[in-house]
Amino acid sequence: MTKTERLSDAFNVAGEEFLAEVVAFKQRNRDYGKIVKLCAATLVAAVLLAFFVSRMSIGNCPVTIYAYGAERKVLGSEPMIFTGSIDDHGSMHGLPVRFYVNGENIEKIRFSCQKQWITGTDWTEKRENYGLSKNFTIAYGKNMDEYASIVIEWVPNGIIRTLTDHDDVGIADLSEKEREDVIVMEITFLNGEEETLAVHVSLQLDGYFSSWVSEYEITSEDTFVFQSDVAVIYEDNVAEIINPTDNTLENNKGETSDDISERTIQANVNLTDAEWERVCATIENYYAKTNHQVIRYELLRHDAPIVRTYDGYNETEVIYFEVIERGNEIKRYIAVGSKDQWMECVVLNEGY
Amino acid sequence: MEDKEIIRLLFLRSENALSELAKKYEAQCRRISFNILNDSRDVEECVNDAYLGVWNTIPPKEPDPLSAYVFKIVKNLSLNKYRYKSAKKRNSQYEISLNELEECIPDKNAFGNSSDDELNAVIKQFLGDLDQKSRIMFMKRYWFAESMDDIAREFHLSHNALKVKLFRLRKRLKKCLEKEGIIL
Repeated sequence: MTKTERLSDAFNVAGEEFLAEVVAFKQRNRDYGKIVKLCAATLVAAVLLAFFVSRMSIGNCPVTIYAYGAERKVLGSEPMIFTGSIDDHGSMHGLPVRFYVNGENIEKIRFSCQKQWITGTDWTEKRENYGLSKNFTIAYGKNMDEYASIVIEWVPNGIIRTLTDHDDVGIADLSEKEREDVIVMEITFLNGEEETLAVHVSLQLDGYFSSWVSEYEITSEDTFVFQSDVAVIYEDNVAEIINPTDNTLENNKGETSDDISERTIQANVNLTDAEWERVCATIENYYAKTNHQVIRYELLRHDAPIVRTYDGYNETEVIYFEVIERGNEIKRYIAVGSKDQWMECVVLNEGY
Repeated sequence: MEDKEIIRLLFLRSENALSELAKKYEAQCRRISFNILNDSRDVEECVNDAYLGVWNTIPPKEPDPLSAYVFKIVKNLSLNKYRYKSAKKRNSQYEISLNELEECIPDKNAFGNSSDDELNAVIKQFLGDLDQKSRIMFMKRYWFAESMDDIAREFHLSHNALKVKLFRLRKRLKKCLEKEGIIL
């Protein structure tokens, strides 16, 4: 068996876990096709019917929340265990908590996350996407077939950060409060009715996440609900966010000699492309491991205010970057050093 | 017919289960097999063998979702046949996607002893870390061996945009394998 065949076989086995997701995706697309055909066939009847129905009350406005993943199950009042998990070192495995809202005649939903972060993605690509955020509002509208494509993902970056930054802290060391979170959904229907629900998420001691839904009454103590919505992340950014690290490396590869000399002046070090790529890889690995979603990182001048000395490293052995993180307006900084001509790079410092 | 009903028929050993299974999944099974084998007669044989596999394993198995289970059997049978007949040039989508996957091999000249379990775990982690859209694209190309044109159409992308996207994903997989010290 060749190496390629071995890799293909491994992919064959590893991909099994995600087969259902691909199948569901196919199914959904086909269902859209069927719906389009059905709609066309009944267009005349629908127009006539609409004349009468348009004056009728919409009535009750129930919504159902579905777990989004390999198996789409209704998320109810009983805790459901998701397939994604986290370990004591903060590494995430599998799919995190994701869900979508189904129902009728939803005008919009405002999502507010108490402790961690949420993202909102519209797979029909008709709405804006939201990166790591605390609060955002998504318009749903009359086309109910699209509701299932609006996916909310809960991202426990705070928990991950705590676990990755503290070697001596494991999941069992986190208090129950620290392991719990709530996503409040303020639902407005097209007929003006409103309903507030909450998706509760809890990190279990075994590292798996459980989630359930309840009705929710917003009180004055729920300050996280009263924060303003985040700005929309537009498509250009989204494209960059999807694969930020690769873009960065691609850009680096396309550098001209002027860019490289500018880089040399800025960083006060002279790096070859291979060395530069190793630095980039160190940064990207660091952020991938700590589950930060980096949009881009930029080299800082060696005389920038953030620059400081590190024991054992002279000024040509450390370079500094400003980092833009998804959904976070505050810039981060990272210092990367090397003692062996940038063969082995280490992160010396990182933070705000 | 719903999957649960097909499984119920299989448990009752009713041959209608196979005709219902074929009615529901045969087109997709044929596509998966054809992407690998590029030969209608071989496809026919593999798909029929897959039905037999389903018949022999359900019960006791009760897979959910049934579709993924059937596709897995079809793919494995098709791969076995592909390897059996590999001397013959086929020019299938699978072969093309296999060539693309070759780019992900960390060090082609090195020989290592990374176990299958280690390799599977890294790939699983890589897939799990991708956003859903990228994961589905990647799976469609390298699991289902679907053609670039079909995937591009499905995702409303240009052929070139998809090519670039997949190139980046392969590069990312290579980096993951390197980072975890996988040597094939």
